[in-house]
Amino acid sequence: MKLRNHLKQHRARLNLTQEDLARLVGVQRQAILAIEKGKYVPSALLAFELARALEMSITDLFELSEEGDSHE
Amino acid sequence: MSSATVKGLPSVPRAAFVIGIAAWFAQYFTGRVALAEMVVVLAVFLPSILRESGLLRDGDEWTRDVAHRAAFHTIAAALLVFVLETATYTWARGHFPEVTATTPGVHTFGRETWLKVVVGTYLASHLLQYWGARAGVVRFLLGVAVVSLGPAAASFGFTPENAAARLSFLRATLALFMFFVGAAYLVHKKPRLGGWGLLALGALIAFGMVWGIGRGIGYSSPHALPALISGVLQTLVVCGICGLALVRDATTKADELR
Repeated sequence: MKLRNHLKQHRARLNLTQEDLARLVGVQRQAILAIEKGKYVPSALLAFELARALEMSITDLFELSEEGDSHE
Repeated sequence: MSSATVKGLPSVPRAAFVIGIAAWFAQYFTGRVALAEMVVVLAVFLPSILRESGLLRDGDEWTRDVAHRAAFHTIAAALLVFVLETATYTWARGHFPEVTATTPGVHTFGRETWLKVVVGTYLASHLLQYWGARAGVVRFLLGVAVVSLGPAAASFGFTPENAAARLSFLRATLALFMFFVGAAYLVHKKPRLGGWGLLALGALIAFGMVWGIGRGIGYSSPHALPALISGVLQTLVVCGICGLALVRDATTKADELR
């Protein structure tokens, strides 16, 4: 079971750079990069903050998947 | 790596980095090796220790996660060094009557090997996770290049009579520096090729040491095996870890930025 996320596409939808999103949620750019690449699973708190910053629900931003990559 | 905690002052990791590099070079000028090495170790580990104890609040959860994994890798590397050192010392005591329990001295790896492996593993792991394989390896190799200039400082103590030796030593140091800078450039431009290159080089150096010690001082000396394993371990930290990381995950600069 893996956690997939759609961070990159929703960030692009709002025309935000990794740096912009990182500043909005109070982390470093490398944290956003690691989440987008599926190398890091954020805490529940950070996941909610990301969803709020991207103006969407957390279930639309993250989803559980059985197999494959944990990111898009 | 992280923003300044107090406006106008450098961040703690940045200050620690400068202090660590200064201490590394100072050991060659002052001769106070043990003190300098202690400062280097503190400069590397203290920021993370302060964060874990809650005294420094400059990182996010990702930074702490990176530090946790780097600490795990460091403990694993230290355990490996400990096992290898114990095994080689036991071997030396079993084969050479002059090696006794009270005179570990040159028959063990020594403080420098421990420092290089433990600090090198932590820095390599931290940089590779934090910046990604390509950018992390480039930074690590540039760091190794700068640190390799340290012994050249010691050559300034040579007397004029052995100026030729000093000159050839400086040339060798400069060649080593240029090699690491060149390797960093290759990794920057062609990460996967750089990764395979580092792995091949590591294997070549390890083989060269095994072959060289066998043909040179031979295994009839109790110093041979600790020196060999120490050399191979240091090669593994620089070439093995970096090479493997690049071969497994050689992203481009474009991937890392956007």
